[in-house]
Amino acid sequence: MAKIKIDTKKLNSAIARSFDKTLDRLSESLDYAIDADLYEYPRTTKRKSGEIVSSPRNLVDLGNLRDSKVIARSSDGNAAEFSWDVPYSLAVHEGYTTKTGKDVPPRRWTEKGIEEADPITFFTDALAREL
Amino acid sequence: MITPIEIRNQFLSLLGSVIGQYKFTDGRIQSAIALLPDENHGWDFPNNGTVTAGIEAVIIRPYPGVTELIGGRQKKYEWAVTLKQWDASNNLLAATEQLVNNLTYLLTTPRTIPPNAALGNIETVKFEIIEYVYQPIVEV
Repeated sequence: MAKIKIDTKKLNSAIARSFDKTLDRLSESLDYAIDADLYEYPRTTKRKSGEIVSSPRNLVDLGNLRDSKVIARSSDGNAAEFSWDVPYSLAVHEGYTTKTGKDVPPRRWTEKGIEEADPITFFTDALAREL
Repeated sequence: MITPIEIRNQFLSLLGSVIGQYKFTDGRIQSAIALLPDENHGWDFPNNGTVTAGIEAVIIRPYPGVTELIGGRQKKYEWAVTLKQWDASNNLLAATEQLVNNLTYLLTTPRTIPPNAALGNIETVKFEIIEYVYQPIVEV
């Protein structure tokens, strides 16, 4: 019977490199999803930056949301979590209602970023190239 | 299948006296539950000029998502629920707890959007009511 010898050290190293590349790819894609004019909006508004914006629009006013991205890695390095550390990030993502009764639609940049990056396919392709 | 009337009755029963009120422009008052599109007024409900007080529940009636299966298809309905607290001195904790504890449907995890001075928003809680319906396809 033939024996298969697996070099687990080499395999784990390839997995780690592929995961790092996937995180880089996803991070770029999530930034793009905030920067790009991908979001329908029901009215024209003036931003704090002074810019007049209509629809579709991006999610960048002063850039605080995009710049607040945090990537937290687990201690073993095998998991990661993206978050955006400004108090209004969930409101932008899920939509909200103003005190005057205007509804602002959800703008789920995470869905668009993940769709664009396709991290599972990217990871498996990266790993195949590493091995 | 879940019906709009059934959902409205569950929300009215569970939220009871804590549900807010619509005061329409013609002076009529009604519990603040909107199932959209409304059967009589479509998406224009409540009409412009309506004053809403207290807790409002807005429920969007879903179109089906479809997964094809052998011999039939599975339809997935997601009723999008938004609770809105129009009273800035109050919150949605008790109402959310009451609905999560007692609604007789599959629910997604509620997402709380707290008031934020920069956005000028009111407190809202969003979740979905999920229903799966198997639709057999009979060849004739």
